Amino acid sequence: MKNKKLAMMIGATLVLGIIVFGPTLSNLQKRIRVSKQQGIELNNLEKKLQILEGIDKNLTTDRVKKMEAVFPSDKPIIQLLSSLTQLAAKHDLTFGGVSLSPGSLTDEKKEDSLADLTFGFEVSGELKSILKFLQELERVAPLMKIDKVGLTITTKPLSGDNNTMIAAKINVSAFYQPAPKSLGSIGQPVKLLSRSEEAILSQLFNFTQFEAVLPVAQTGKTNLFDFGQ
Amino acid sequence: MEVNLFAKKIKKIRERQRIKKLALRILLVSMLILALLMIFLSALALRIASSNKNSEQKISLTKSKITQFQDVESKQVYLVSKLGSFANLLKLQERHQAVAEAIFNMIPDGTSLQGFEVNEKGTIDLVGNVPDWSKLFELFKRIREQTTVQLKVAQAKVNRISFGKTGEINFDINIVLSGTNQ
Repeated sequence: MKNKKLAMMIGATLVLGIIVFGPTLSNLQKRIRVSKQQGIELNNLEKKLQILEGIDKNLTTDRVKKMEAVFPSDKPIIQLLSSLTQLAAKHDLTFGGVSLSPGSLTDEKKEDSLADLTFGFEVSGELKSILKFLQELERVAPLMKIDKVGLTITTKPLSGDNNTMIAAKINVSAFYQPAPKSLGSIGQPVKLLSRSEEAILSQLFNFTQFEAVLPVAQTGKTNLFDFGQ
Repeated sequence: MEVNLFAKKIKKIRERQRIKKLALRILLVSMLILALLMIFLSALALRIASSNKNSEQKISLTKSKITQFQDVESKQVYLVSKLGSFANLLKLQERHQAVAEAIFNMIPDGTSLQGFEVNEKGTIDLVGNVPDWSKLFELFKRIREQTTVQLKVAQAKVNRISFGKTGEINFDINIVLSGTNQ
């Protein structure tokens, strides 16, 4: 009888406790959850800020410029032709017979997917120069690889020397990859580059970059009698 | 001699009173504990709320600082996005260059090649012509002895040898280079 009453009292106290403390405890739990989430978010953001502060701004800018020249985001048609003509000129080779298949000029590729541009051309000159040209070709920006090579010996007319003249038909592929279009959410972590990745990026600076030379065409009305006086 | 006729009844009443007192005490103590607990929980909730507000301010401050580095971040994201493909292309290019160099080392002076395709698998179909037999034997010798740091000829098969109209010797040779897939 005594125990029964005692149990009833404890039970009543517990019920009262649950009724009074239920909402308070639930509210507290919610705040603790928010606090944990905020803690994690703040930690991630601070880490990200620390990483961003540690990145060398000038080096990154140089790398981006070089990457855009070596492995561009758009079809590198002009840069490619410019580099090839200048490389051929560097080795005293005649350059011509370009067959280019640039494909579509609109962006039909998926974002961030690797794409290539195939084309063929002919260079002619001394064998030694052609070999040097081929060796240097894969170290010239924009990035390209030799797919097919055809060599033909041609005689040098009206020439007294014994240098072997070669005409080389070369097919190459150049690569490009569109740049990402968005940064993502602010909480998204920034990837730091590992040592091996840094080493790969440093190879960017081994590529020779020629200035893109665009043909200058007169447009509109011009004064034919203007001699720069 | 004194006889207490209400002894049992008195004992019962005393017992009841004791239980009532005990119950009252338990109730009072419980109320006190609950009140203290309530105060403690409320204080804790307030403290957490204030800490959350503080964190929120820190988060917004950190976010605004991160926004100032948006230029650096976009460049880093750009580099990371291109790095994978670039690394693969460099590897592919190294193999290509090695194959192309191996082929050029094989060809003796005076050889005319119709063409050969350079692929990373290392299988090459060499089609062309040489002016005389000595050049052809030199080509065979070079193919047999071809060994660079990266590549060596694993298999070579002569598909066709024929004479051209002007006395040149045409050839068609299949070569398989090993060591290209490392």
